[in-house]
Amino acid sequence: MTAALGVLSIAAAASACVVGITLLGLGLQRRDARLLRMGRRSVFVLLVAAIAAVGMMEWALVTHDFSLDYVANNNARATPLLFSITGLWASLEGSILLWGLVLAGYLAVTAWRLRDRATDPIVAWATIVGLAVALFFFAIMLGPANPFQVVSGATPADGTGPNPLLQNHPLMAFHPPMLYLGYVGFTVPFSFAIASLITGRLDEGWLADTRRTTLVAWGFLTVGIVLGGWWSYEVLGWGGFWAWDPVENASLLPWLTATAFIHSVITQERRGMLRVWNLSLVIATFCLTILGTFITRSGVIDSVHAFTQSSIGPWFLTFLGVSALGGIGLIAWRGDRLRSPGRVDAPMSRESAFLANNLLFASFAFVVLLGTVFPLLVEAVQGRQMSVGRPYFDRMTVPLGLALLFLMAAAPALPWRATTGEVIRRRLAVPAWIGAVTMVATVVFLGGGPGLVLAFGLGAFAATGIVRSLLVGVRARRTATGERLPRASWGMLRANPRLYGGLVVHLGVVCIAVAIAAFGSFSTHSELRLERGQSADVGGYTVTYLDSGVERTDQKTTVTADVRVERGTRDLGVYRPAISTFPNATTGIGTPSVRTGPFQDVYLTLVSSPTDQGRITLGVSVNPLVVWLWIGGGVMALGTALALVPAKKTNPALTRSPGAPRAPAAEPSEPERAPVGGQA
Amino acid sequence: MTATTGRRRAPAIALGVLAVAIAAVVVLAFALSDNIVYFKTVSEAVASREDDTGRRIRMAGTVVAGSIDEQPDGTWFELTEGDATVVVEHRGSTPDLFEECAPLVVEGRWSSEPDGTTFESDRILIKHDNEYRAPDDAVPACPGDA
Repeated sequence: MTAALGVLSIAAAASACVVGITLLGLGLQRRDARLLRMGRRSVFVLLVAAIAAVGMMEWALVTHDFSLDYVANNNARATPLLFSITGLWASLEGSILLWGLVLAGYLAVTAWRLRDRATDPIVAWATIVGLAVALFFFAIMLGPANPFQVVSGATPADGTGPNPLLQNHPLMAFHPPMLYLGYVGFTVPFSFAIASLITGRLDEGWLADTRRTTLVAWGFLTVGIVLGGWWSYEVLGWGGFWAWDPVENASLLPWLTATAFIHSVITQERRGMLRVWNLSLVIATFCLTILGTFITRSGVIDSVHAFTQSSIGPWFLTFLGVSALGGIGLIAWRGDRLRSPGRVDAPMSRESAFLANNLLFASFAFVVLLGTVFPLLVEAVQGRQMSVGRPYFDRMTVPLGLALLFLMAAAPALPWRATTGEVIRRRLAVPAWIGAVTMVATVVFLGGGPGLVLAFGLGAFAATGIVRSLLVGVRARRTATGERLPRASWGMLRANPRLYGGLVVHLGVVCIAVAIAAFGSFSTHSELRLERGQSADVGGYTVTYLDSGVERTDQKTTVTADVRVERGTRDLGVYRPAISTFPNATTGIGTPSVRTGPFQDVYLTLVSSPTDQGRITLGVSVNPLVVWLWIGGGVMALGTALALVPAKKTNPALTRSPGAPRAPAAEPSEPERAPVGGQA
Repeated sequence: MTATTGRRRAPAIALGVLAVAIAAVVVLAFALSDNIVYFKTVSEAVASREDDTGRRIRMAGTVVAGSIDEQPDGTWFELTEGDATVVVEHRGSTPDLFEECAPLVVEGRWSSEPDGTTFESDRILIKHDNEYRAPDDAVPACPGDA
């Protein structure tokens, strides 16, 4: 029953896409407003059908309906409720269903937001493209990736349960949906970019239409990636947060091009420049999200994450090819119309900084992409299996990352068009001095290599510059309006949310960059064989193996070791690294136990459970500044939220008298001159 | 691209960009080739041992029953696949699931000693199977059983 209803919902969703595309296509051809409005409504039908399909799947998971193949493979009677619910995205078919739902949601929100422009050809074309993408995903679910596939033969009494890695932690609930809210969101600016190319309306309109959606998607993707790192560190227990694993890279690649995009569009809005860059970046971002799904879900690269193998590979590859070639073809077709009215006037200007930004991010993405797909290409051509080791990625991306850090610090100080050395000196002198002092201090007190010194120095340079901008802005506003500090800060933000929200995001980036550099240079790892009651000294801490215990549930068997951690005479508590084995699985999962401190983490893993002689092997890592990765991620999320605050450029000093009309709300684009509260 | 500088400077800038691009590609190619780690089964690795000396490779096989010898400075065991068996000297800890008959992948190099035939590994990757076998399914035979 559930299966039938589920398949019906998916079929309804696919039909809604087809009907919508047809109606909108006809409406555009005949310039019929009524058809366009009808076609637009199919987006809402799609949403309802998608919700129904997901509802059916969740019902099947929660009630342990093992007549469905998907439920039998990803759920068991012993599975707790939370992990039954999160089982929706435990493997391929369900995650395609989730993708379809999120896409339907984004399309519906966009359609509703632009409801007054239903007859605008650009909106109609964008809706067609969006529906076409949705059609692809729902069509796959009617074919090779059917989530409602019924088990052949007798219904099993119990399912095999989800992959143990996916049951270990509640974070499982948030990491994939966050990533999907990011990935899928980029379909919206992509569809508008294609629409603008098709209609020939290549000005900045499509940017304004999609700006907020792009930022929301970017925010979610950023949080999703940081959560992935957190999960890797706290749950998977291999001791790090980023392994350049192909699936990690799959999430990073669209993030890189999307970050370049959200910066580069500012140049197009302000001066109509970098149009081809922007179109290319958004098309590349969309294609990379498809590539990412292909890599993650088709099992084509042997990786920690390849939870499933499937025959959908060729489908995705085809869709990817069509999207990429279609995008490139459209850009080539409109080539002559894409020449920008403006030019880069001087090398030291905000425009050239954004251009440099694009080049650096594009290079970064290329380096990661090459390392990720190279094994695929080799295997396809030569038949040999291989992998690309970490050092390639580390060595190639560190210089690019440092260059980006420098640019992030210096670019906000560069005015548009051209500038004198005097302006830059005034804005960057103090931050540069502090950066230099930090570099010297790092060399003297910490040692470490050039990468570390540069990372700390540039981080200090950037952080000081940001703090300076914020302080100058608030002070200027307070002088003009006499407001108190909190109100002035809020007013300053609302006058230019993108700038100040963006600066906060940059502050988060500095935290993350510094933490990565410190971790890379100063983290230590040791393995100790300890008997019960035995202590050892590691990196200034004393660890004592107290006892171990075994806990058996229906779901799993867990061996836990109790370890006391002390620093000098201070007792930091008892931590419990563990190893769990699951009844239906041949593998066991280690769970680390982490003592998180503001400057250092003590990271404990149970490498081997007690031997017959009662000895354990305990892994102890002392990792510096790791908590600042998560704090940095939070700051980036906060900054994104701040950047999304609606702008309001009122100067209260002009409207002191009660009842006086307020200045009208500002348009979304930034004005040439900084408003009250902008850069001094 | 849309952005251009003054006409006089355009050729110089283009040349500069080209030079940087070529340098970057060269660096990229070297970095990539230095870090390629081929994946071979035990029999493939043994067959290509001459070519692989000094190079880092991954080797997949199954641990032979009764061959595990844990010493303070490392763990010795035998890895087999197909017709070939190799003695592996592993430095570092072994994961909890390292046991007889376990299918796994070791990563490291062939011994550099002149007549050495052992494989020196520093990383063990236990093959995670996506498919979970129900307890009553047939278990593959364990190599080394008498």
